[in-house]
Amino acid sequence: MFARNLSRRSRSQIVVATMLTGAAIAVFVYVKVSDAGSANAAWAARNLRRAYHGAPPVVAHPPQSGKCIRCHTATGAARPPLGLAPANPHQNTRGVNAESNCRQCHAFQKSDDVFVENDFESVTVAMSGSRAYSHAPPTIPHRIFMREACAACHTGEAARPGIRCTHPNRSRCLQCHAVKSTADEFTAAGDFLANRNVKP
Amino acid sequence: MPQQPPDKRDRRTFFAELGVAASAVTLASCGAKPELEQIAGDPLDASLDWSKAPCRYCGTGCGVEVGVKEGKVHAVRGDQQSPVNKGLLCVKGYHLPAMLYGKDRLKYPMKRKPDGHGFEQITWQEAIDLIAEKFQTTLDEHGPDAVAMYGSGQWTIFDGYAALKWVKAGMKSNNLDPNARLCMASAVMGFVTSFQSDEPMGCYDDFEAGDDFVLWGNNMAEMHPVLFSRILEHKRQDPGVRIIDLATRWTPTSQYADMYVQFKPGTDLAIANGILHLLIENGHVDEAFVEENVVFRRGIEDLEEIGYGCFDDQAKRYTFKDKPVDSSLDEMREFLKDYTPERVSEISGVPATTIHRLAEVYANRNRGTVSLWCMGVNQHTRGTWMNNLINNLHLLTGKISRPGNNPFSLTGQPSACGTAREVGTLSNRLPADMVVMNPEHRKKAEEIWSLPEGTINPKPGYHAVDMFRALSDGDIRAMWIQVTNPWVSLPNLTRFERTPNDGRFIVVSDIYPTPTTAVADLILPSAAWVEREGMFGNSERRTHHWDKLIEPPGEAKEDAWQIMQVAKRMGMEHLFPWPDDDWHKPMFEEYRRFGLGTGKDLASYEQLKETRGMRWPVVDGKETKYRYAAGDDPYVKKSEGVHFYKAKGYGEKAAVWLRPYHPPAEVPDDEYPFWLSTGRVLEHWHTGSMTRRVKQLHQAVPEAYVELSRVDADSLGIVSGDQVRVSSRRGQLELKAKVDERGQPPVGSAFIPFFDESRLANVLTLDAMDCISKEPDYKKCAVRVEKV
Repeated sequence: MFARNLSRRSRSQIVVATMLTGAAIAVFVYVKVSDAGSANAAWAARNLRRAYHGAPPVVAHPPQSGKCIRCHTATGAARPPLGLAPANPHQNTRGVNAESNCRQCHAFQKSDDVFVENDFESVTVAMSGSRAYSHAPPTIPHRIFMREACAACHTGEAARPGIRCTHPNRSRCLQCHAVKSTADEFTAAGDFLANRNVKP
Repeated sequence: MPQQPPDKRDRRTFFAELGVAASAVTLASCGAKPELEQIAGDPLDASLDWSKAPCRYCGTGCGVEVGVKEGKVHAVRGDQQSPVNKGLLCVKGYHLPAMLYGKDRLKYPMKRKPDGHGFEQITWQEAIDLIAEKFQTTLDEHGPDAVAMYGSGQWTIFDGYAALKWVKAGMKSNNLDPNARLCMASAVMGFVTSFQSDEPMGCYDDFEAGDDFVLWGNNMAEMHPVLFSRILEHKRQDPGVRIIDLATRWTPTSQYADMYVQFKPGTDLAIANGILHLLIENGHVDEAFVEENVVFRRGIEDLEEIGYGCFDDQAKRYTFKDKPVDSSLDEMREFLKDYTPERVSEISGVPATTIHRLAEVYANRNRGTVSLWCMGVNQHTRGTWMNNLINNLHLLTGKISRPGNNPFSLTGQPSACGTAREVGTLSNRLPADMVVMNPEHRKKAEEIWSLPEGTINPKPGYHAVDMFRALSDGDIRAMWIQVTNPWVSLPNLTRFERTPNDGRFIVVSDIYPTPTTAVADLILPSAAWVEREGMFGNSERRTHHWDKLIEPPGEAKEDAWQIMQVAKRMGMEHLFPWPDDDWHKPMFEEYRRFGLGTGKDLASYEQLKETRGMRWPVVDGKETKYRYAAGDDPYVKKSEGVHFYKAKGYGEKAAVWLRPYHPPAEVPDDEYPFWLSTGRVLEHWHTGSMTRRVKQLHQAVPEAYVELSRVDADSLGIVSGDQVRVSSRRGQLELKAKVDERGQPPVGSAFIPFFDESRLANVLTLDAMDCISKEPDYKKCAVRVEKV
């Protein structure tokens, strides 16, 4: 917000500092595996690249050659030196497919400048499922439209600690984890159960 | 959907009773708002109050759900109940909320200081008094030709209707034109000349019903991404689906195409005639359909007589008028004799075998064919002709008014159809396909408006380009501009420069400062999008209503309110007799009377509030998917099959027009060896005044650039990122070169997006225009490119 008033040099220093802090947080998050805290950290890290919860994330790396899904596979993949490519959560989304135009929603960022400062505020929301009792499976705390492939975020190497699934071999997630859903999403959930064929 | 099907309700109840997630499942009703059932399925669901609205940007008309808390928009999501986008949006749509909150929102009326430098805040009362006084004085001293209003395809239906009534009924002028003249006018005149009624017969259902999608100069992956994703999904489910991309440069759309056909700029006319030639020669004309439903016409074809508008040293005003005469299929066969695949290949650069393949696409009766186009065909010195030729392809083969078989024009602005075209905010039009030149039409408008006969001026006003030329010349002395940014979007911009205190008075209503507000004498702050109640009409005839969800910032007011206040101040209370706090519904009901019973029937106000939009004609509460088609269109009898009932002048048939190939107005030469095309990018919308204020969008495409081919860049010693100078006969511009990025122009051509107000593509473009629609050609001029 204050970037406009600073020189380009001090702005780049801030960028570097932010990146280092981000890396430190990421390391911290990675080693801290206790439940709630790291889930919140995963949530915070997730929000960094989104305008608000529900907005598509901007792309974290410069444009690469080849199709996005080459790296953003069903499980995600290590792609040094860029890091871990998160899996594609839209594999089972009706209307989105391997031939889709990823850039329809996900933009590369080519500048850290702003045209005019903006007062938009996202709302802070907490993201955690509820359990009926201590060992009951938690409910799914978010909509699943566009996120039908649970494995994309919850298993695999790119899954953030705190939301990483402890039992990736079980593939029918909705058998135990209930979708808190709008009436319309029942259809989506139904399709999801019927069509799901991606193994974690 | 006002009602949930019972089975879904039952399933939900079933789950709830099982106790699954019962603790968190809560139902919240939106009160009087459209029924958006809310269950705590997501942290955002419960923390925000959700309502429906159409997206603010393009003509697709995606449904969004808008999340509001404490008077601010905090989130949107794709509306899964919207039949248009089925939950999906594009990057612009997902980032809608921040569009409202740029720090420099205009909040108060501002008047230029007497010395001409800078602005000072004034009250609304002072602003309204000043506008009323300036327009009244101009009317008194110079008559109705000296006042003008320049509006927008982003006007809501309410704004456009208020403007129409103020200008045409109040000031008795027809100097009312929208920026849609720069965008959709050729499609309008194409539909009007072919079918005597504007707007497509097909609808978005064609994206799942068609087999072959022929894109005529249309970069759909970037310009209508959500609709393109519907085609891609259809293609995934049915691999037989083909996308055929006719283009002058390789775009993100091309990478999905089964057939990429690159042609020389402007030669689409020759290609379409080549296809028509083959269809006739090879016996692929649906003779029974043509016999029953088609007449033949031709107009003036002489290049010298028609010219290219006010380009170069031609006339000051462009008033060319076509003179239609009867023709026939036999005459058409003769006319098309010259358009052999070989000759078309010479003109267009497309191999003759490809012309044969394209003809086979249209000839194949077993496959549905949808032709799609937008600015490539419309912003064209023979844009109306090109629209006619595409309509011809469907009329001769009978591939029209059937699911998956239609010519379908895509629109660039959210209410180019709903407002500019349906309300008729063009210099020659009235609502529901009527025109000011027709005495019966004027009479009907005067009746609905309770005005004495003879009130409406029968002489069409200035079209957009001439309007600004008249402003420069001093013939227009008072002008009001709303919801548009002509000092970025007009062609050949340097022509329209002005200095303060030059004897003219310009009012500009907008939400942010722009190069247009910079030249204004008075700036009015407008309410944006969900800061007011509104209705848009999208490309598929869908009228979509939204409620006011939040208060506008500062003293910003909706555009229709601004117009009505000035009109009332000018003594025109009788035109707007509705209470100040409840005028939307009565205004819409009055407007709706124009279309009822004419085949342009809009849904009722109540129905529009409840639904995700309805496609007209809406009769007995039922919308129409396919116009002119028995079983779909309530104006067509079951036995009639297809009936072009609006075309009274052609005996209720459609017209196939014989239209020749004419070369573009300016072609590259030794001095200016490159073609230049201009356009949009996915992340920015039009002049960028909204999208550039959104961080994620600005940072994706922070500035305009020029795309060059690898071969040209190499030979000019340019690498991607180098600063280059692009110049035309009209102006010059410095910007970065891009090579091998999202768009790849062929050798000898360049592309510049026009969103960037500090790098104005339109200082280069020329104001040559279409002979019938008077829409300028932004896609073809000659430039020179040099490394700086």
